[in-house]
Amino acid sequence: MDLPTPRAKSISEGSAVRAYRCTDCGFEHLYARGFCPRCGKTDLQPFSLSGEGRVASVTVLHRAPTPEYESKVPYAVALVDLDEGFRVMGHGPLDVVPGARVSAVFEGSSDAPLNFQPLAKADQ
Amino acid sequence: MTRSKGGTAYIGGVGLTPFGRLEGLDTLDLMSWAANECLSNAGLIRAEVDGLVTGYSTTMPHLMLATLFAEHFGIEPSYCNGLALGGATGCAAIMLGKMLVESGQCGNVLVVAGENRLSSKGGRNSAIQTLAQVGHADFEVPYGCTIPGYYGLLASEYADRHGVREVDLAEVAVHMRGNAAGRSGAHLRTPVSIEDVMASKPIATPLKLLDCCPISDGAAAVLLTSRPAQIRITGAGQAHRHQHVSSIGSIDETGAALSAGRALAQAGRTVDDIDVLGIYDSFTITLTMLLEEIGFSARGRTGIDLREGRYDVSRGGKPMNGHGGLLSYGHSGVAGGMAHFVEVVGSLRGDRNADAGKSGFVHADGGVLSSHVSIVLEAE
Ligand SMILES: [Zn+2]
Repeated sequence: MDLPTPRAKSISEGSAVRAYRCTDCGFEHLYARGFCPRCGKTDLQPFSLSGEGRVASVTVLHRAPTPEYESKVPYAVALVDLDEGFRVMGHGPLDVVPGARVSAVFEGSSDAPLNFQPLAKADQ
Repeated sequence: MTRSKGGTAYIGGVGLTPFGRLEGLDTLDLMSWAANECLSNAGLIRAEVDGLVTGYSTTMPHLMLATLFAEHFGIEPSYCNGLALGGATGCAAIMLGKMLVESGQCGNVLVVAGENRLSSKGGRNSAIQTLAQVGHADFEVPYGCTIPGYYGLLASEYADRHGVREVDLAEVAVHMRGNAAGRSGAHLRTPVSIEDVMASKPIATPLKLLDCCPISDGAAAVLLTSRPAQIRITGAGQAHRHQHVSSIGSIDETGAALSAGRALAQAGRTVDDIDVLGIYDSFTITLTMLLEEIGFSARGRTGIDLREGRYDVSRGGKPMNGHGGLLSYGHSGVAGGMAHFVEVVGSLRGDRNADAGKSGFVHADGGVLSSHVSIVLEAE
């Protein structure tokens, strides 16, 4: 049996959120495992997502878990339902609300945390 | 101990320390305090305990907490285990104790947990950082989310979907504080109003300070036995559908109803048969979502039901978390989730009110509504 390869710890590749499709059973999943969580097969096809979706929920943190985040309060954390059907956590503006259409913005390194910004009305 | 024939698991005894700041006592001191109370309540001596189930302690991380405690407390059980399912650990340990007794593997199982989560070195800050790690290590924790943050996300979506307003959540906090007012062991006993809750400082919106349970020191213990007693466990169930908040398939089907359904089916009961409730309430949204998914309150109705007295004993309602729950009796980790069980046992025994009823239900969740454990109890 093949040795497992280390799984990807970043949710994005380049400037796109990346998901995986099992070439055996067709199941699609977001968080990399190196195998299909439905059937266990390891032949996976990575594919890029649009990065656009709808805010499902948002919380503004006034109490940080670490000294690193203490300087950033208040900051918003949202769960976003991407158009392709996956739910991801990301940062966003303080005034974003559930239902808002947003898009992932990539700045700097591709493994930086996801940051979502509202889509302009014309884009919606 | 000779191996018993098994059969029914009865509650031989319970023990619960005060919660709050218990300076100078560590995990072993606190666990011993509750265990001694429990054995005394059960009328048992140490040599009669042949099973031991503990949880974990964030302030005394140890590979073998159960054995560590056994040696410290002075028992030599024939079965030992230490469980870790977050806030559901206490009820899961009680369920395991039930199974050990029912199978005949053990005759007297001591379930005990406790920790000095508040007064330990590092205190609150350390606890907040440790607890945040139940989030996804790669895809949630790096965002600076906290346990209140994960539950704030649930509250945000639940409000959007079911119209639960912040004042509705505040009803939960007010009610739990009211319950704790008469309990000398409760961490927080000063009554609060809806206005107080609404004016408390934001922690993780929409959750404010008074929507969140305190971090406490404390311990709890339960003795399960094959020896017939007034209260027996008639059903237990679990459900585990996800670990992380971003992986909850539907916030209306977290596993709470599945777990409760399994326990109630085993007991041959429905939610309508239940007289006394002990429901996990780490946050006001936690209790709201659990009550509504299990079916004690209709969707979006918990705040209204509380206002209308559905859970107010003085107005003919069903007793729920009479000790004040995690929100006011306090939260000392695994023991926090066991305090609801101890409270329901006390109610069924008639400690509070001789007519409290015959059927009890206890539910706990661990993580972010991730691990669910439900237990049904019946009094003779
Ligand atoms: Zn597959």
